Amino acid sequence: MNATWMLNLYPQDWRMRYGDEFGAMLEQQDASFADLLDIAFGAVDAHLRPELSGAAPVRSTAPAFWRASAFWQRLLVVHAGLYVLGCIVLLLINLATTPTNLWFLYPLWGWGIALAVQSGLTFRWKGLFGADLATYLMLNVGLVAIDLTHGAAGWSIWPVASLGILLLAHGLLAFGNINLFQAHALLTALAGIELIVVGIVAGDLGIPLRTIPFALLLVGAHYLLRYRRANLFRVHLVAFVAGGALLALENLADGPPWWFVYPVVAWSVLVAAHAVVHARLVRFDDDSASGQVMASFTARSRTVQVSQQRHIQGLFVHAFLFGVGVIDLAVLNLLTTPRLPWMLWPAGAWAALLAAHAGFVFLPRHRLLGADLAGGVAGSLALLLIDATTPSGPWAIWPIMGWALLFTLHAALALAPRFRLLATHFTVGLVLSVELVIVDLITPGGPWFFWPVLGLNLLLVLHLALTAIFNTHARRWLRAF
Amino acid sequence: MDLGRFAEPALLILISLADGPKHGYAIMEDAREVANQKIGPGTLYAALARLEQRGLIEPVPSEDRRQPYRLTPSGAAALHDHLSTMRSLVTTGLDRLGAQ
Repeated sequence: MNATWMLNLYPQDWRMRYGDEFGAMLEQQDASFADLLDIAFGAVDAHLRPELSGAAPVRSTAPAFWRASAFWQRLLVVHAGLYVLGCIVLLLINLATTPTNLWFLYPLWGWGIALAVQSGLTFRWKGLFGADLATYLMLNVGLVAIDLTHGAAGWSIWPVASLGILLLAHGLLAFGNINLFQAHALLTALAGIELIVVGIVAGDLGIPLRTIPFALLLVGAHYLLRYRRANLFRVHLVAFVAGGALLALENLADGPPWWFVYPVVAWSVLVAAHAVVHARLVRFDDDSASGQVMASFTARSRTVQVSQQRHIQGLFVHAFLFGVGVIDLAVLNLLTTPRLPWMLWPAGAWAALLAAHAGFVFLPRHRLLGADLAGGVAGSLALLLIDATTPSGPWAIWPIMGWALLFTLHAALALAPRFRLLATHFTVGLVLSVELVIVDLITPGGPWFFWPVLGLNLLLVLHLALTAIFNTHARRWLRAF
Repeated sequence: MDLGRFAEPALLILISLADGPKHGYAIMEDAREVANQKIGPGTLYAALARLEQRGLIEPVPSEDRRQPYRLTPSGAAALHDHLSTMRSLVTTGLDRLGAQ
């Protein structure tokens, strides 16, 4: 069989380099079916590795300014061109359908804001200040125009003023006139004044009274950190106590329900995590518990050791947070709905995440596979536990079987680099066969598993046979036996 | 030579070119005779392209459509090193078998 037509399967660059000689070689022989398959695999390889064709890069005929522009600048030019085109198309549609109602301005305004953001990010001016300014102008010009054309009620003053305060602080910071703390304080002062004005206009001073103390608390914390060189954890602890007290006061003013417990509990978990790091319960030296775990890695390079040690320390912090978080959840569950154990769901999900983290840390050669395995096993156990303790079951078997199938696929791809396709087919086929039998047994009707399992395994045998015939490594491996 | 699944065909190509330039079809025939191995056309050119990219072989100027290739000095050195390692392995293996 003449196989020269199969040259068409190869990429153009490859054909330009090898096509003539490859064709001449194919003309010299009758290609077998195995040869056709081999050529097809060769073509796939040539597409996957274009650099092997060694073709000289095609010289661009684009104008000089275009070739000199960076990718993001070219993208902006393309976007701007599309924007102009979009303007024309939408205008024509608008005029052709509802000429009295110029609705096309709204999508163009929204699209224009996106274009302004992109322009600011592409042509940086004083960091991100250019992007901030372009967005501010585009957004507020539109808002003021809408306000003026819809009764001129004057509401556009609020976004213009609020975002203007942000822009002012950003600008002073960007031009180096003030430092970060001063920008923060200025922003808080101007926003506070604006909130009081809003409260007076709206006849409700509740909003400024509730928000300004928190804003001042943040400014105070920033001041202590910047000018008093205060310890970060102590500042956090003070902010937690003061913030919790402010929340409790607000709640007391309103009366029940006592909602302040929820943010305080959530914040307490963060403070606890900070305390762990601050008290150096997780130490960054070789005498720590994580350093002892690292003893098993002593044969590895120092860089790898340090990196692994930091992974282990991160895991310890996560485990501590998990413990505090689960206790908090249990207390909340008992206080609110003692008959309904809803905390099992977040605790189970968190346990699976923690186990995945542990798998990631302790399988350094295959971190993602370790995370998949440990997270999947822990998640499956959590699901079985929840399934057993809730009345509407059993259902946990379904997500567990789904995970088992995906994990098998993941493991085969990660662990069998040489016979990747065959290993994937073999392991996934095997697990799927077992799962089909289980599904057949636990569902009414049947038995029907025989036919799909037979089909799956016949495909597997065919794949094995093809590999044994055509794969050089497989042939050598078989000969060894 | 880290050529993945093309390591074995690449070795056969280098051995085939060790006694002089050859074109693709001649390399296939040589591999069949010397090593009783059939290299498919797609595999042959995938391996040739990798060897050429690494500078281990180079095309010889020719008027014929069938492009001959030859070993470069670095290709000859790489083949020599590889075969020396294999010879050492073979010697060790045979010695150990003989010692049983």
